[in-house]
Amino acid sequence: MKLIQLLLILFFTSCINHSNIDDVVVVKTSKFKSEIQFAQGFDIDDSNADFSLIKINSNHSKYNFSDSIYIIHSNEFDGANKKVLTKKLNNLAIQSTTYLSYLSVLNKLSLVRGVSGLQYVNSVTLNKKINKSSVNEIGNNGSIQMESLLKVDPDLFLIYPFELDNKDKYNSKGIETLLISEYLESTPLARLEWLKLFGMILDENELANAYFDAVTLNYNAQKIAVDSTKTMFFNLPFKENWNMPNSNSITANLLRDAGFDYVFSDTINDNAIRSKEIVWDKAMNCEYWIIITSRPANYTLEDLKNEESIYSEFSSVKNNKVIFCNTSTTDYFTMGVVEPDVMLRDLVHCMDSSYNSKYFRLLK
Amino acid sequence: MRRDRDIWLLIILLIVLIVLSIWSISVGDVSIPFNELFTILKGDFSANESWSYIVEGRLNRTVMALLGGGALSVTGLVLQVFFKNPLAGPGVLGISSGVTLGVAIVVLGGFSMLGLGLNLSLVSSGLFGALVILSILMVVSKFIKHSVTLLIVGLMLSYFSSALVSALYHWADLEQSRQFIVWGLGSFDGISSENISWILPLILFSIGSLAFLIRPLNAFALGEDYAKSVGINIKTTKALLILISSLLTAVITVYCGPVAFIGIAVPQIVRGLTQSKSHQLILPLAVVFGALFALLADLGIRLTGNVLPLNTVTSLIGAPIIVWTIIRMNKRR
Repeated sequence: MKLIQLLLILFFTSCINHSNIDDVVVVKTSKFKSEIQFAQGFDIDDSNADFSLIKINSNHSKYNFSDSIYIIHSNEFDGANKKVLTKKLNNLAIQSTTYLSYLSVLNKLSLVRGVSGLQYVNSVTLNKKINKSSVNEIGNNGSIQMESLLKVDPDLFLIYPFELDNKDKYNSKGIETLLISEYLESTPLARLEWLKLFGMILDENELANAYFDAVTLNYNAQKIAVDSTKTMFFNLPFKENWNMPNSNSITANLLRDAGFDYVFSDTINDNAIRSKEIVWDKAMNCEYWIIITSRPANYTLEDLKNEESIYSEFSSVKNNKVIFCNTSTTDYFTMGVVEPDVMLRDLVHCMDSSYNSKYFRLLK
Repeated sequence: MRRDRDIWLLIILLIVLIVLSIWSISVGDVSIPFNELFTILKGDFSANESWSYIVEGRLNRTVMALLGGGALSVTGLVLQVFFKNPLAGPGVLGISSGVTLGVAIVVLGGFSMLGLGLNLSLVSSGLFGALVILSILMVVSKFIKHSVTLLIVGLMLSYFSSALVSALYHWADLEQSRQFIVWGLGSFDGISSENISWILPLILFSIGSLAFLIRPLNAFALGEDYAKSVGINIKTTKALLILISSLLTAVITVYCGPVAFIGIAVPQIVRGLTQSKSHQLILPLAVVFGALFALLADLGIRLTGNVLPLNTVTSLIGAPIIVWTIIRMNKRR
């Protein structure tokens, strides 16, 4: 008898309605219209007076995904069977710490209640702004912990496209999701432009556009033409293989805008894994070496030389032209996303000993 | 007659090993003319500076594969005789896991694996881990009758060590965890000439010293009582065998990662190839065949673009051999 009672309880609790879908209210009040200039992964349709539609697409031959969300301007809008922002966002969960930088620009970090990989936020700027006691860790070794997420109960959960398979699982628990694929863009400005999407969902359009325009102006003012004598290659190997960024990647284009000539520019599609032998052979006479990786705080040129004896023979090392970005001590993966102009300025000026750099420095 | 056949087998394997080693040094992603290769190996300057480093890298990798394969295979052979179990090996008995735990304590505790030099802390912690596991196995082996039970104990020790390593991840930073995971996949690449200069004599000396233990090994193969009856000092022999096995496993595992299946599979193949019961022939055959096995596995990796981890290749070859051994063991019964 007790067993039957228990089963009945389980049956009825499984039928509990967990969310209220009738609380559709007008979210966006700003009349400011966003125009997308560089980003390929999303678009904003502002043509209808009753709503704005954000459309997200894969924009990559390797992936196939899409998502969309309606931002309502009037009560005339029929939101049936559509993903709409049902209330003003007060509570956000995010899968990537990169999104914190967008939220920081819009002064909306206080909305974040759940972050995956909170422990890996090494940005001094962000750590100062985040009240960690009110933010929950929702991930564990890269995977989302459903119980932690439910505890946060976010109004919107911003996820990576590779979390797409779990989207239905979150939705069935009453958690609305939105795909953010800014990392698939090919230029720093296109990646920055995702700020407009954040501005749209947080009703901070004007601020987002103003920030984007200012950074773009600054970035373009510092851009220089590629100098074929400034040959360069990237990074460090991991065991036998050397991962070279795709020549049309955000990083490669940032370096191109700083006037560098990438010697592995034939890596057109994906990041190309090269053997150490090939890189050693080609990199030996490269003028510059750009390293973006995680190393101890006081990492020096001597430390680099000690990693592999051949490095001492590289022209870039002999001529002290190794430009280094330490991802464990700089905000490269977070604030760097919204400060491409600062990164570009570092790359253009870091050879100057009096220059005070933020992201990239000359390795000494 | 049988002995002559086995000697010829050893000579043929040695010739194949030499040919493959030369090929291993000459083949790679960058094409280097043979005369340049010869110039570099002689120690003269090459027309292209990077080539000398490339050849040095290939040479070190080849030497490390030969040493790793030979050392692990001979360790497996010794353990199989010692524990009277054809399925014993550094991986199965948990010795590699002991080394892994020792390395994990040092590495995940904050020591960087980059530019791994002659690092006594890593080697000694690895050696300590191996000795602890082997000592536990020795104590346990006194209380159990069936050799299969000992394997299960070894597996449990392996799981226990792995669980401790998993717990250590929570205190490690992301980069150290990544380095440790990649190390765990196994590789003969990236060992510097400085390291080779001390690993080479140490491994050769350890394997060479087993030559003085051939008689005790032959006696042990017939049982401990028999060994006692022919005047073998059991205590000293056991201590020496444990020390050598632990040292070989620790050094190779610290520098190449916990390489799977070579230690267990190669002695099985050798016993299948030779008709001799004497370790005077089985031991050198195991060394040469182990080196050949490891070199072939490494060449396979290099020729497929360095995509496959070493342990994937050794497991693909080794696992079927173990299954075959188990079937053969059960048929016998």
